[in-house]
Amino acid sequence: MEIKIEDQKNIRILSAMGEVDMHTSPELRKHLLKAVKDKIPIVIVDLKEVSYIDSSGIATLVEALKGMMKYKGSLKLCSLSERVKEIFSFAKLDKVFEIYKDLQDATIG
Amino acid sequence: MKQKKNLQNALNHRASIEVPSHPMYLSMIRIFLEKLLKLIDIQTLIIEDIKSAVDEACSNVIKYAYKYSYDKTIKVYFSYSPKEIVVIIEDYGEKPQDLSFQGRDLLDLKPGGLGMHFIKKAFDEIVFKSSKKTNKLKMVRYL
Repeated sequence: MEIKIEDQKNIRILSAMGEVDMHTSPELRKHLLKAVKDKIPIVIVDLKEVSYIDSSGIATLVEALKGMMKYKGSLKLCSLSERVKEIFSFAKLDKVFEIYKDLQDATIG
Repeated sequence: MKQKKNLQNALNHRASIEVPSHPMYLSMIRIFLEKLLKLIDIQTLIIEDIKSAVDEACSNVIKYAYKYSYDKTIKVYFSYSPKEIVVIIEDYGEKPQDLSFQGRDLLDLKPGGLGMHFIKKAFDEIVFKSSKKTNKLKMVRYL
């Protein structure tokens, strides 16, 4: 998995590419927890190029969401594949996370 | 189509894979299952569910049976009949303390505890057996 990082005014965009599993989720966690530590107001995780996510990947996102809630930050997810959407729905997380159709919507939403 | 179904039923679909207990090999197990399940023309949704479930079960082996020791072995056995798909995961680690196979309450927002839900979503029957040397998790999906 690769992660591309882009900073805009008050926004950090983490674009993940590949599969997020027990092997790769620590890399995503490292970047998310850095954003939490830096109290970045808005973090967008672009999942457009993510073909697979396991429970460790989801746990990483939940951990970051809870961390950001403490300073009233906003964690947004965008461009979920049908399978990833289905997993979020099954885990009842589709109502917990702010989920956007694409990066543009997430940026202005 | 009928010919393909006949072929599916005629073949003895059994296969296995053995990998080191390092998380980097989880993707190999997923690829192994995906290729096999596509060969026998299983629906995409079921393939994805089984891949997720086996991935979670193998992650649990690394975490709980092997305590993140990466030089051990995980074996995955697969078999198919028109009635069912059976996956058995074998390890040589510690016997898990909690055999209740309960995931966390999905409404309780906290990291972790989802893996068991993925396993139960994909499989109708889950049986754990432990002997002196091995742990075996047998998971059956009825078709």
